[in-house]
Amino acid sequence: MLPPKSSGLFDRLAEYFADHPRILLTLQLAPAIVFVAGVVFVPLASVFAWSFWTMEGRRLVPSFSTDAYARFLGSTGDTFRLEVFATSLRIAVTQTAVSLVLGFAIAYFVGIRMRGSKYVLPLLLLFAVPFLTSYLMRTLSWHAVLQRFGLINTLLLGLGVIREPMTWLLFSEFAVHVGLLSTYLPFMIFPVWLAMSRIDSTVLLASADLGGRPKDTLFRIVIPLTLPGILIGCIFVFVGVLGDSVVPALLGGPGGSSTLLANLMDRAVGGDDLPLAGAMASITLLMAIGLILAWEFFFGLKKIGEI
Amino acid sequence: MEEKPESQSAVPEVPEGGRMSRRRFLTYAGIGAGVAAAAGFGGYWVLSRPQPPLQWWGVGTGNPEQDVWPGLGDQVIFSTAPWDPVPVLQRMRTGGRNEYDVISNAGTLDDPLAEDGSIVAFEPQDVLPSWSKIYPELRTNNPTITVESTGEIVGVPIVQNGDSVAMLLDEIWGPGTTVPGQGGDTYGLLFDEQFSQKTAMESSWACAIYKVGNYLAHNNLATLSDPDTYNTADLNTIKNFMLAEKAANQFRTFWTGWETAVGLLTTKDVLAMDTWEPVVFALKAEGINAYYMDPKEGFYLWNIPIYLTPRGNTVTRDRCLRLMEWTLQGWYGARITTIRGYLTATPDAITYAQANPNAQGGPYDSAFIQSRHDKVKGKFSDGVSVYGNQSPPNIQAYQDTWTQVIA
Repeated sequence: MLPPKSSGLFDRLAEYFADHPRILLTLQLAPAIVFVAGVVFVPLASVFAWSFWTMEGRRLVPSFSTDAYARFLGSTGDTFRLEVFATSLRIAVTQTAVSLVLGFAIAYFVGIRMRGSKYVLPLLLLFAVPFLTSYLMRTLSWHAVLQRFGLINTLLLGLGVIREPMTWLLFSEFAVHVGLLSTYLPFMIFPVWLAMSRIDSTVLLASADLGGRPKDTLFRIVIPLTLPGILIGCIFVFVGVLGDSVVPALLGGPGGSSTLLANLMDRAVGGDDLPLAGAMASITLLMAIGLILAWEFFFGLKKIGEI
Repeated sequence: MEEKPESQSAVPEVPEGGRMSRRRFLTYAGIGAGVAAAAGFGGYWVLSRPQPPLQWWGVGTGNPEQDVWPGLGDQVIFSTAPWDPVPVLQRMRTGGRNEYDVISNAGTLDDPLAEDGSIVAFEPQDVLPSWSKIYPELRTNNPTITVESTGEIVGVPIVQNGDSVAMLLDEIWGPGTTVPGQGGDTYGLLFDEQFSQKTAMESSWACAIYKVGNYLAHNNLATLSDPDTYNTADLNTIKNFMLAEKAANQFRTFWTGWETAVGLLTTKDVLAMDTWEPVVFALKAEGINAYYMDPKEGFYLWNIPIYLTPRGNTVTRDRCLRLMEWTLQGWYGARITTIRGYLTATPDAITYAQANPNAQGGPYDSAFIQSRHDKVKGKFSDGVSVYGNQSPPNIQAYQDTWTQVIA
């Protein structure tokens, strides 16, 4: 029997899209692409364009000048921005490493050792609770813990462990690390835990049955299967720290820890120097893209999708 | 049969002689009455409809922080603006001038705001009855209410003070000290190596840079031009001095925000720091023997005028002028001086507090208000204190200088 003849616009369209699935996919994705382009790529492109524009008085004027990049790189003899950039990178890498070690341990405990426990979710939520308060207040609360006669110094003085308050606890790079860690650790824990929670229990049991020691299971099964979560966590922490200006401003000290890259950008904007702020933002953005490309080169981005 | 003339058949209801038929008359009268009634009700609805509140965008310092503002008779929404020139200028350029009726910010922002067309000149002496009551020290403050290029008045001064250094007397000069001892009258206290790691400065350049400049210039440690217009060489001099002090570990930190400022002194993390005067009031309220310095180098003067935007000058002009007049009157002045210790523009604050000590937001102590007015007026007429410029033409250089200092 012959199939019924198609009639009507919808039938013809359905037939057409059935024959041309790529066009259908493009049309389905178009609204999302337009939206993302509008709210993400257009602003980023604007920032990139501004980095080549110039300020005439208080007006940003379209032109093509690499002056902002030259100033960032220290062409005028002031290399302090490069130094701040280097400090920011060092702190971001350190934070990522520390967050990875601590975050992985916590995620392993919750995702593997406590698997099936009713306490998993409450425990994870504990790490999200601080986010219910103001970021400023959360950061300021560290003053009470770290200041000259704060919780730690008072406790240690009371126990006779120290004779003088340790002033380096606050307004120092140490304080910045503490503040950043408390902020960004959950950004490592959650994706790593999510990746671990997807590892089939039978795989872990099989490893044990085949004589694998816990260390072997960890390094040969858990870590490889958790890599996508680790990558995402590292990106969250690294990028987050590079873009943070609150913690350095409130907890950093005069030794260079109170001004990181994001503070430099804030100050450039505050000084009506949008080209310089744009140049710094563009360099950070290009660096982030470079990191993603490097990952693609060595491991392949497909792995991220496996989470 | 005789044919009717065409003209008659076209308007059959109008009898000869131009008289309207009774039916047509009643119809027209009904329509007319309906239209008149509709217009009347419409007009009544428009006129009786509550007007939208005035929009006042200002730094929080000028906010009386009460739900009801006695004596104003109008509704105002106060939204907080940053004490940061560039975001304010940008916001006003990108629509703020048509959204806000009045704004209030650092007085030295008036020139760029006026150049942008974000605020407009008016004749306060003609339209504000209390204009003549404004203290002469404030009314003649050209840098803050008058556009330099045109001489036109664009603002009404509402809140002002001179900033210096907060210090802890007990810790620096011994317990029970009531007035500062040696070195307590100079910004040099901040750079005294005896207090290494026990002093702090603000992380923003806007106040701190002028205090350092005044210290260097007044004590002949450097030759600097007018503080309003530090050039690159002046800024380098300030920067090099500060970098040397920083390298010598002089500063505990470069503070930012009210909580940090109060906390640093409360915990005695620092003994002296450049900050706002209300910090000292807050410390005293906690029983701490704090003192606000009278520096021989002079105070860093600032004021906050209220400005009329293009929208406020056209759509809501009368209401805006009433609001401006109200800021010069008693309740506003008494309230602002009581909660912040700052000087308001007229002595009405004092007389109001005498007559209404328990008015809304009180109690109001007229003696305290009088003393604060006298004290701050003195700063504006001491011949040494200077205005800082929140918006110098070379603002990038100012910002760069201080960024290098604190980085």
